[in-house]
Amino acid sequence: MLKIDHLCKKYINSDVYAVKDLCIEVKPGEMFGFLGLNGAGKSTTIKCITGIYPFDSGTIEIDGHNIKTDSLNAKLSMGYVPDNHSVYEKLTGREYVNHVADLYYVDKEERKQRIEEFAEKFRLSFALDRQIKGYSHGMKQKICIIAALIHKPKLWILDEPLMGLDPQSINDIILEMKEHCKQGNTVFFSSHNIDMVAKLCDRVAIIRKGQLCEIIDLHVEENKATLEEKFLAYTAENVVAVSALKGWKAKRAAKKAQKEAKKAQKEQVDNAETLAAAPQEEKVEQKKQLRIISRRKANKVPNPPRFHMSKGGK
Amino acid sequence: MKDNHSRHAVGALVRLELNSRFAGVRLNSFGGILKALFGLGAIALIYYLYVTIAESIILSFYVYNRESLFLKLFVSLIGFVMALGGISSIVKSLFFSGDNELLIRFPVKVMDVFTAKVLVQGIITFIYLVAILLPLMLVYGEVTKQTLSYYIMIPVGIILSYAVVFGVSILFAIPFMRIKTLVKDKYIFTLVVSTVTIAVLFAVYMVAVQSLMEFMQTKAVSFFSDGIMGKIFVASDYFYPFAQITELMELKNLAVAIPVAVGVPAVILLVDFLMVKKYYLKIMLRNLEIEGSSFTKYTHDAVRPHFGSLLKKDFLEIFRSFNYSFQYLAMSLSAPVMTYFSTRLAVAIGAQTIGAMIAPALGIMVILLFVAILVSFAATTVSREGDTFYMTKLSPVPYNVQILAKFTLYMIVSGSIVILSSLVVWLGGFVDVITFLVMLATCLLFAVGETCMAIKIDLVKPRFPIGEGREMTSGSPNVFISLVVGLLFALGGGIWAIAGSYIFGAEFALGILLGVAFLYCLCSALWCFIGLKKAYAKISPAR
Repeated sequence: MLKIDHLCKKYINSDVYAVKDLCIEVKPGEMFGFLGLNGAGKSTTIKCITGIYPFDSGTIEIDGHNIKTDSLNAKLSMGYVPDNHSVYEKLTGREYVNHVADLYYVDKEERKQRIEEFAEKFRLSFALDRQIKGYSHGMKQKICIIAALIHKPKLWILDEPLMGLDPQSINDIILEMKEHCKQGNTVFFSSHNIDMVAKLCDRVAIIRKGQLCEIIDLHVEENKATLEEKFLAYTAENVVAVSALKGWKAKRAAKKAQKEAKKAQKEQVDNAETLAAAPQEEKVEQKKQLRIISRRKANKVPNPPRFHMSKGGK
Repeated sequence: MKDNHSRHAVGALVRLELNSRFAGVRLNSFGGILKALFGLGAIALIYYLYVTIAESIILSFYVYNRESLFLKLFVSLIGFVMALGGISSIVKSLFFSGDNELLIRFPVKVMDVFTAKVLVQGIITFIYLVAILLPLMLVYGEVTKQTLSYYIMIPVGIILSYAVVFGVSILFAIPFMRIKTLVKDKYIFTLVVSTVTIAVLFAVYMVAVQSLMEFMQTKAVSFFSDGIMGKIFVASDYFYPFAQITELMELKNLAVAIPVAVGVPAVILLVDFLMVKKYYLKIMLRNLEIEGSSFTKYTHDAVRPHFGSLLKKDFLEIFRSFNYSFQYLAMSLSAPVMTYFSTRLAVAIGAQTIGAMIAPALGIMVILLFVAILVSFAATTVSREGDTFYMTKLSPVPYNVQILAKFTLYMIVSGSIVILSSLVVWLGGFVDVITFLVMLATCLLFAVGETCMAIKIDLVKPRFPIGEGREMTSGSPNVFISLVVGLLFALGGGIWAIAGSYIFGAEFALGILLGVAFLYCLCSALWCFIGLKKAYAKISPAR
């Protein structure tokens, strides 16, 4: 459904690659998470996929359509929810969704039915005929989601979709993401919420400084449990702001960071061994303890918010 | 302690305001220094021209012993214009600088926020006023051989004039905002009222100017004749309080001059203070609340083709914005009225000085000037949309259809201006039917060329407004470039048409102008559409 092949993207006036040699393939029906620290290249990758950013080399295919050479068909297969919920605020919610439906060739009956369905699902019926300017953050996010789904895209891309939303809205969106995948479509989203990614996704990619660290299959139970540790280990180097330091301070900080990363990786292996040796009933408790210890060690990284499913969680 | 805190708060807010206003000024690069030097050079040139012209005008008044009338007229005119212009600046600074919501959260008094904002705006106004009045007053003193007391009184005159100008701006700014909050979301009403106001004000102004010109010509009197001068002299005494401020500077009629020159600014500032204390916070909060509020409009789920949908969206985005609706739609709708009166005046003056043969050329020049001013709005094509532009960019609609929809909207507006303006010039009897058709073709070609150029300028380097939901209320460099190019063509074309009509005959001159307009249109269209895809693809969010 989505194939990113050796994607490289460098910003104008920058010597550093924002995304370097990134290869990801996402299958139909899959929910795929995209993790990374702030500035790791998640949004840049997403903007390259959607065609907002031009990129230097590599290819991106959406449902078999190349975003560069067959952009219109590629865009037709995709729905995008941006992280900044940018919408035409002077239009009403209905006007905006109708405008997007026009651009994606959705016929009258279908759009009418979908608008009502989604508005009800996302509890937005009361505000659909109101000017978007007066919407709250969550309402804007929801109207963006309705607009992105109005043409039933095969690939649904969301950039940090649950940021700043209330639990009920988060639940509504998660249910829709699951429903979308159940219908054989693909969901690709970036997030900082590791717990949620672990609960929802089939696979997850961790990206650091524009480069892919690993793609983790979350169908394997152990991978789910160690996702946070892995993420912290991969990104440990970033904990110390080495780039902000100069001279001997930078060298010392870099060494310290490397040491920490190695230590974290070693501990992971040890932990895995301990886990394997422990009796079944102790494993769950140990896993919990390990996660707490691991989080404390990386106390410079802000703890990801905990996610609680109100209903229908995996 | 409280006062100390207040002083600190005002100081911090002033620094914040200055930083945000002059954030773009950088002298740490070669380009920045070059830009600053270029700016200084331009200011020096303008200054030189200004002083030279002022000197010659003062001399002509001096020859007729009417020098003090000049001072009264000029100071009053500058005061009036600056007070009027100041209203818009004060409104923008007080209510639309985008930081009110932020500042209101800080532990600072509303009066401090007001003082900080007004102080910065006040300093800027003061600098402008000094830059305009001081050289003029010095030249005046030099030419009219004033005594030392006059030079001592110059700072007093400037400060009093400044108090009036700034006080009047604040006096009108706050009620204006109140009215604006009342008519929010009444888009059609606002558009109709703005259009009628612009048209009526312009018509009254042009009729007044024309009456004055005709009076002077038919009565065969010169501007400096005793009759005319006497009337103006008497009238000038009523230019309160500027006339009295100038009298105070020259130490004349002090019994009236002192109380009026000092009293009027004092009363204005006192009223300002009371009004600000009572209404500023209320109106600011109301505006903040209203900015976030929205209307409800029930629509059907109608299907439209790509082109129609994009066209509708673009129109609504302009129509439902007070700023864009005023600066584009209202100005465009009132353009035919403005064209009619401008042409009437230009033809009246031109026919009596050079001859009736230049009438069509004058008509064309007037329309070209209006088209150049209004079409420069097209240089906000992408910039205006801000981040939402990318939502259209990622849609499965070819880039050329997206641009064509915008182009069509601009052409509907500018085409209407040209057709209606040409019609009023023709129906007003200023040109015959052949000239009307040539005028129509020339101005339409120019409008197409100008629109293409403005769109491409913005596509090459869009200047997105910073902040969520912000509009481009201040001048965009893209609009400025487009406006300058448009005005150069309009003025150049107009001057050629007038001179050419006089020397070679109207048919020849207008024929050449039509040809040049065609070439301009062709070149602009080629420049716009060649490389359009690349320029469009390159537009991406700044990191």
